[in-house]
Amino acid sequence: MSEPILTATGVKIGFPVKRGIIFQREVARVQAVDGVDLTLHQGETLAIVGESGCGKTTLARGLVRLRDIDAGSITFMGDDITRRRGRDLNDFRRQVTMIFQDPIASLDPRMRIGQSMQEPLDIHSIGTPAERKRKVQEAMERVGLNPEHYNRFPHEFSGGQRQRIGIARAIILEPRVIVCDEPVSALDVSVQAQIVNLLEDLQRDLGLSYIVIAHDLDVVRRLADRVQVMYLGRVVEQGEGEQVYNHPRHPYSKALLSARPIADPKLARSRERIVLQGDVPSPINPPSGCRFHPRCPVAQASCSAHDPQLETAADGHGWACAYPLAP
Amino acid sequence: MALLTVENLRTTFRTDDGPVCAVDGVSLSVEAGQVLGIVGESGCGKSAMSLSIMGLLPTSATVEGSIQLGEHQLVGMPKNELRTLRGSEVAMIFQDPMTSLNPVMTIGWQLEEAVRLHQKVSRREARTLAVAGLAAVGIPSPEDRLKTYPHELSGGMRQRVMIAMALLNRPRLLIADEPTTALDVTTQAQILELMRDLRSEVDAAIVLITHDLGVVAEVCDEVAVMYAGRIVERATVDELFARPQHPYTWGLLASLPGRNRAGERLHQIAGSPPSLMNPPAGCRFAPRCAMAMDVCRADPAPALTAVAATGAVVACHLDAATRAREGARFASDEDSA
Amino acid sequence: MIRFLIRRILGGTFVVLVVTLAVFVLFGPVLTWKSNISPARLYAGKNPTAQQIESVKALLGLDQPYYVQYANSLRRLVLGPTQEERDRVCPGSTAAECDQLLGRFGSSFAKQRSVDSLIWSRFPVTLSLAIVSAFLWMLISIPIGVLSAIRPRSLLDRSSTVFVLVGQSLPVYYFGLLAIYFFAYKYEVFPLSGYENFSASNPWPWLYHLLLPATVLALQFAAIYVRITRSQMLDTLNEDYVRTARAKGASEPRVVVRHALRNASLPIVTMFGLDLGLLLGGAILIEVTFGLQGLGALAVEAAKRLDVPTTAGIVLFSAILIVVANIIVDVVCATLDPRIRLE
Repeated sequence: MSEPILTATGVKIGFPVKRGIIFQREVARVQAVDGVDLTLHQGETLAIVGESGCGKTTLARGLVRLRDIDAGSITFMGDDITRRRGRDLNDFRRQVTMIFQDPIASLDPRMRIGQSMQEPLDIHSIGTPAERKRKVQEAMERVGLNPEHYNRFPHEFSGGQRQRIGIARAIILEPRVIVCDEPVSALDVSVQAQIVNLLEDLQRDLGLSYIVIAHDLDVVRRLADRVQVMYLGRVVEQGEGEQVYNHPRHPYSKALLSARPIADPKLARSRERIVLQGDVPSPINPPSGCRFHPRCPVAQASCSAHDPQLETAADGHGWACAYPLAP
Repeated sequence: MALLTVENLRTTFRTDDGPVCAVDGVSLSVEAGQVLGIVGESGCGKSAMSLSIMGLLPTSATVEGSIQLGEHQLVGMPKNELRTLRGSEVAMIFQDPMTSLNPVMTIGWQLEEAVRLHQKVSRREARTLAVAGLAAVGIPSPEDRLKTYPHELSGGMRQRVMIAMALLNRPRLLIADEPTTALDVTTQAQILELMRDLRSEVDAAIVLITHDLGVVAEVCDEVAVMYAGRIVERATVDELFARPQHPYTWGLLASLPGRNRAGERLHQIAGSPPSLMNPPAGCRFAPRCAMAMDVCRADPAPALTAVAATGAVVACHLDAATRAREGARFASDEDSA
Repeated sequence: MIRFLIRRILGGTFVVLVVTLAVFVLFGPVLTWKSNISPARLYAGKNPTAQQIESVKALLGLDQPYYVQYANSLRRLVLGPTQEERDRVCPGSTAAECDQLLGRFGSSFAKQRSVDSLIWSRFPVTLSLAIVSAFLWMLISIPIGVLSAIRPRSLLDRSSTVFVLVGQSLPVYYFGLLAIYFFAYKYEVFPLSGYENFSASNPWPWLYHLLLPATVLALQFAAIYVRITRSQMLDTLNEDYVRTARAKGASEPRVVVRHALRNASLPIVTMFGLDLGLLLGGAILIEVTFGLQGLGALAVEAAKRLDVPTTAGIVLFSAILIVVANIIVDVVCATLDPRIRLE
């Protein structure tokens, strides 16, 4: 295993709930992320998987310091960057970039794509303007765009191409880590394949490390070396891809894997499906004890009282469950 | 006797840049109690087709061909008559439940409106029907729910409300346009399970539009694959996955992330769908097809021809043997091991 | 909802407080310092001696430090004049008589009347003008705006765009004078000027006199409201829930009114409340052009004769009306859109 380059320990991020007639007092806190550890090693892809409300997007933003975290620490290349702000983060920002989910919303519609892609270079004052333009065009070629389209506007491109623009913008600073927030969810199936292939190629050619946030387990299976499954702000299972996909120990992981529709009608009819009851609960009022117990198909009586911690075995496979499934 | 028979449907939009033919000669049929899946990616015309059936197109669109729903011919029907059928004989649910419900009206009001638009019942009777409708889709405490507003419900609940609303008048045809795309995976599983249950309880014909082959495999009886405004393949769901016939279908199957062995590149279909303003001559998939021949690029485009013995149809110039051989590489049976 | 209302009222009260302070400072120390308009000097008559100025100052209570003056004026606004003030300003009169001279908003020494009585005597005119005008402009603009949105780029839509442009461009005094010339002078459809009091038994003279000025005023606002309504409706008609309503088989009129218009109306309601509040403070140009004795005309007269208390009083009165209008608008919006109540 290569050395860790980005680690997060005990990260907690919450949103205040304010009530009051004249002066708003904080009466409660929505703990979107409630104590998450993670380690990203050089050259690997770490996938964070979960549904809406699990906190994965908030965690991603905390990791790239788009927002402050309430507790815990984030270390990049040995430096603690948890409390840094403004210019002190410049070096970090060059090395850790982000790709967003919605290719339509994440590009300024009034900015030509060349400008959008060049902006990171402008901000960090890298090279002369001519050099910057050349870098942009190189990046465009690398992601499969025609460099002659430098002056076009985002609306002139398809969804897949816009995502490529976003990727070009992310790699232009030659970062070490890219955090991909649901990079293919908004795309058609065949285009998803193209983008996934592109991300794989870039990782190999540029020596990148990825943190991929997703709710689609299939996509992540391709890309991920290690997987963390999140539920209501906590990591409920983590391990290498093979471990989590083939031998899930936490009931939620198993339900998540089972919920994915299978593109095989015979298998779909015959298999045992786990359909969870109820909705994903809101993090404002998490259930007592184990947070998953109200929806857990194998919950025991004690699960409503006892909140299990994440315990990791020697092989790196860990889960937070008092009655884990058989391997 | 098929409940819905569409023959040679052609829907054209008048745009500033010229006419765009979004649906170009589509024919299909659905029986009562059957689920037909329409699979295709964005721009293939599947939504335009469903809107044509519902009569929800803007005035700049023209519809030609035949849409026979039971005893009604929908093409050319006067608007007022079409309106009485909409919501009662044929109902539709849409993709995004968050925006598809009116944010300033209660759920109860919207459900009751659906009833009272087509049935002459009192407010109280409408209320009772609304409560029953909510219960039928598995919403707990339905009476209390009537007073809530859409933003107070989760995505899954909202979609259930949409389904309940569509079924209130016992439509003969239900069109579901990407009903689970905007939902979480576990919620999607719940809604799909609900749809499977409804299929046996409700006698309607269901047209399910999606881009997700997994959804098709889970819920549909028959499948039609659409590309660039045309149907390129149609078969029973078992047939489609076991013996896919059209190169586009192969591409779709191969693109599924679960399909590829680790280490292999994900199969991708080169290029992107054609512009419907200026579609290519001949087979519209030819520019992206790895096996295209000269005859494919010339008009006329291949017609839907039957595949021996199975009742499936495919629009492709490749001969049956080639299709069988290539198709076998993408069939689901092999990968289930 | 109650909490929402309380929050708004408290907020509004705070704003009014700030306004009273601003008015006091602007019409008091700042005015005296910046220009040489000292109320004492004004009221002391021609060529006053220093002693006369001092005694006027004592009379007006201007010899006190500023914060005391402010506190006094604030107290007088909320609770009415004190006995001490009455004794000082109108010695020997009864409370009722004194109210004619000194009210909550102060006293106009130039007119020898309380600012309150001046305001109340003029307010009915302004109120009538505002209400009739508002009614007319909503009657014109909402249907035109909605119809323009339903049929964009049609003849109706394009002509309404022209109408909007004309309405916004024509200066009201010019347009008003033209209207008077044609409709009151040349063709004698409407009276030249003047105002008839409203009487419940026979409202026609009242309406008759108001129609011309109200229409001129309404056309100005109608222009903007047609535009806003049109753009809001265009947006709303494209929303998914409108498509759902159509899919349910609702008729187009029902879709437009029950679904689209209801959702589109929020910004329109907000603007309407604020505009109405503004108008209640006096439509100066219209009132002067048409010779209506409203608050706007009063403000102009008062400013011309350097009647500081009256001018300041009208400003304050207007501000209070706008704050109240704001609160009402907020409550109406919260009723229309339940998501707002969450704030």
